[in-house]
Amino acid sequence: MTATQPVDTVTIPLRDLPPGARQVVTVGRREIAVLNVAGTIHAVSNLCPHQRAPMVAGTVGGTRLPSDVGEFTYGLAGQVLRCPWHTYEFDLTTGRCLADPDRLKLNVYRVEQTDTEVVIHV
Amino acid sequence: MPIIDADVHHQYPNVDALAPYLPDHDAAKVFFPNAGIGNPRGGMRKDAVPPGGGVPGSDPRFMVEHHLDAYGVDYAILNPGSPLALGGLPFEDMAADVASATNDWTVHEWFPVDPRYLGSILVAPRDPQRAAAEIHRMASNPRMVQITMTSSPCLMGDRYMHPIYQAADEVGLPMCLHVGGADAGVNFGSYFGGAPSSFIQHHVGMCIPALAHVVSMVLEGVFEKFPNMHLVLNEFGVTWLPFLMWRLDMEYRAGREDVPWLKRMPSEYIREFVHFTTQPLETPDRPKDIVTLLELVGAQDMLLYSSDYPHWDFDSPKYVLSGFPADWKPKIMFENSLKLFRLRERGLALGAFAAAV
Repeated sequence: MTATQPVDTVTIPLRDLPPGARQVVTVGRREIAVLNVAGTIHAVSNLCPHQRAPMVAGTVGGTRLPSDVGEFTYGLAGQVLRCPWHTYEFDLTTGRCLADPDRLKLNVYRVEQTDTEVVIHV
Repeated sequence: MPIIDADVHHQYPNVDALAPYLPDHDAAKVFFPNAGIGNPRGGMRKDAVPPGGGVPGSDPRFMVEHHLDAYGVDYAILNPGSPLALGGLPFEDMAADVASATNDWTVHEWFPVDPRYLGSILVAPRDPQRAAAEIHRMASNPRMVQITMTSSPCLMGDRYMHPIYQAADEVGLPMCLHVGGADAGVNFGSYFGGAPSSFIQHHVGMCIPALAHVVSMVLEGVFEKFPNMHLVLNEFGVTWLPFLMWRLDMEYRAGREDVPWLKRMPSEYIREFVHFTTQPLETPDRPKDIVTLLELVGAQDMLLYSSDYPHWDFDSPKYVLSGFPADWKPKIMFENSLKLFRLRERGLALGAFAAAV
């Protein structure tokens, strides 16, 4: 973890975050989970809005999309972060909980990615 | 605030852990039936794998660090997680042997690790006589604070079960029914009126057997016959309680002659003898609505905080009661359990915990 100045950005060397890797960075009172999903870096609040479980320990995958009765449509591959405790699903790009998007949401932080580093805007 | 966690699951690292405690020393012959529909998302907290790997809940030292110390739990009542489907095993003798071996494993491999671990005497209810013998064998250990099973082969008020309650009454321990075995193995998942087709249906439906068992136990006069035995319903939810109490009392006014042995209104037996663990606590849209509902039946005196660690639906003691009145929290977090499990009388409420309570 490297928390560089100024405090409104955090920079992580990309070599510390290869595909599949994740880590938590702390900025002031904020805990941010940073995940490399197949080359795409996501940064979201690390504490689940339900009971403050550590989202960094969650699983990433796809899920079944809204569909007609009796139909299953797989989608959002690599875009769903599932809480490690109660398995609530959150869209990594919007932070919203798929089952209750208006009430449950993770903060999503803007990420800039270069060949050598990841900059997270807090 | 002190915390007594009334439901923590310790797991065998693998079934070979029972080998030293089984009469024929052949753990390879032990198996468990499927426990209904498994969770396709996994049954354990993803962050609870011990550092050396293996099953969450299987390392007593890691559980101390990851749960007891992390949340300031003063006592954790262990309820064996590996054999949750035991009641669905049709072989009474194997089931009873596994229950005994599990109890010895708890006492020998978990209790020495930390004095905050308390235990549950696991029984296999398909042979009530052997279950009663097991209760008498284990009850002399003061850290065994309740008897537990995860299903019943019949409605729990049925006389078939009374030898178990007789033993519980004699040793003065509460009887815990935990979810998990009601649709396992030969217990055939019929509690819904049919078999559910997804895990979410199964997980809602798990609550249903408790309603039938409470009706049966109250009306069969179990709490008149065995007044030293209380019932702990573990993971069955609680907000169905107003319905059940009001309906029972209403029916009793009409049908009293069917159950002339009752001395009080049915709801009064529930209020005195039945206790509910909190996890998983129903969550209404407006958090205060659950308080309104529970207050109607006095549930603040019947609830026991539980986390269900290390299962996926763990309830954190920091958040689960956040909408509750301040004067309810100590009751639910530790006072109700302290009293029900008679920790002071057992010489357990000692040290810093005694000072705090």
